[in-house]
Amino acid sequence: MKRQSSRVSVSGPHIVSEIIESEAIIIDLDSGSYYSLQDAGADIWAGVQDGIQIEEIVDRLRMKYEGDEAAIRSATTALLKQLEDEALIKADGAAAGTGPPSAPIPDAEPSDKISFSAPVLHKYTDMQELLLVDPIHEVDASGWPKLPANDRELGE
Amino acid sequence: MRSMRVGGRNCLPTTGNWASSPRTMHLRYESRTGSPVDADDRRSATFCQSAHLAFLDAQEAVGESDRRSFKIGGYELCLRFAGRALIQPMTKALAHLATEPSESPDLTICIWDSASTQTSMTTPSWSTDDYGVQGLISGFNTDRFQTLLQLANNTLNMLDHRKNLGLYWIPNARHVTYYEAISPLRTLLYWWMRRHGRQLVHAGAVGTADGGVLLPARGGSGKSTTALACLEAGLLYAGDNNILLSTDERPLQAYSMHNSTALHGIHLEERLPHLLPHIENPEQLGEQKAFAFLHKHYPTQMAASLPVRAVLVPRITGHRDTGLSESSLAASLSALIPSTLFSLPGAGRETFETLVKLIQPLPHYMLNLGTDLPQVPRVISELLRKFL
Repeated sequence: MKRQSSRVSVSGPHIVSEIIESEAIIIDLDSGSYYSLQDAGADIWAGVQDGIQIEEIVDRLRMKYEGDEAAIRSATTALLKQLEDEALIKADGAAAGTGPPSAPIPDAEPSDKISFSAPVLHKYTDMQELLLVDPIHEVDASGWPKLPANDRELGE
Repeated sequence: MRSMRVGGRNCLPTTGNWASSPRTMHLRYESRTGSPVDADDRRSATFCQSAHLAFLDAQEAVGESDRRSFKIGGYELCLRFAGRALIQPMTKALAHLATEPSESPDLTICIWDSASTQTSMTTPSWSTDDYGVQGLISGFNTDRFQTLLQLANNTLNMLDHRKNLGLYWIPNARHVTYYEAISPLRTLLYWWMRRHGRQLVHAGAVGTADGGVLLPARGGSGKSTTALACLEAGLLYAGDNNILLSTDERPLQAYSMHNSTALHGIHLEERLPHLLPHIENPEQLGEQKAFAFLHKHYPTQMAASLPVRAVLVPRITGHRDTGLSESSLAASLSALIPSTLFSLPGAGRETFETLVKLIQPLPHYMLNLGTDLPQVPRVISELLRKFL
């Protein structure tokens, strides 16, 4: 995707998220995976949710964080690639300047800026087993699925 | 109709013609004459009617029926049974909430199995392709109906919201899993309660009549250990795994659902040996968690509800001492949301947003669990005194 001049968006309604106190909690209802992003990562996710262009996400980060512009851009691109690989976002491919105007963010005073750290996407998969679909190969004469032979009994 | 082999797994005959039953007219679901009727709703209503008739047939076949009433989340739940095979498995974990029946319960759930009643169940109206994630059945989940088949043992859960009627059917009562026995009717109650101001969450809740703490945590984080240590020290207990949170009351209320607990046997021996004599399944600890029904042993400490004053996320430190550290809403949500959301069939964005809204106003702490368990209730009690 054209990262610098396009925008990305959340890949669908199966992705639910909330940004709370500089942390984004992102849940993929289809896969059972969930994610967290903190600080700059949460800001990038906010940009994705707002539908702003990638270059604007970088601009927002530069206003809030103290750091090398190339490093911020590179980290942003890298995170977006990760989010896309996880199918949390999709490239919209819109040309620059066609999206809704984003709210202006006042440039922080240099002394107010936070030191930029490359965001880390934390992924958790411990819930995936809850969404596993048991394969049904056969049904019995009454139309109900045949049960596995080794099922257990609670007992009396 | 009743010629099946008892205990047979694949021998249920197809059902007869329900339209010829004298009960059909009596149980006919009202149609919305003059307005468009959704095809899924119609199919669901037809199946629900047939399944309900199968329940009534089962009651008639065994010649005995039983009903038990419980007050859960402030609502009266009536469980109607055909035969006795499922009474114990479905009611032990609810026994602390038993109540006198009234003429108009808020929710009625019909519970039966085919094997012990030697009756057949109606044929499913869907194909194998319709079974989705967590057993939800495509085309049978509408605004009015919710339907799921637990594929591990073919347990049907169906709820008609309009009639406040639930159906719980299993081919053979002997195939009720231990997990269902310790958290019976979880899915049906979740579905019904969320439309009546109660949100089921994967969390524990302990405290006093003046206030309690909510204990959200992933499995293995010390949630049950914390709740059980508090119980042993005399605090009130609303649950250590499933709690109903009020969405329409302030302060936030944590309502009890189940009086059961389940722990890995080794944890029990090491940390809570006083519970060992109460374990219901000592012979099966190799393949099941150890479980116990706590109301039998702590009858005066079972709380139907507690006002929630704070959220404490337990985490095992390995150190001796237990302490609290201030935490964040984000940390509490990280502990609460995934295991709640993914364990509730059909839960999604709305549940997510509800959970955020519910616990946002509360103070949040990490409960740094030490190995000296008697400290745990002391730390929690001290915190709760601050809110008095």
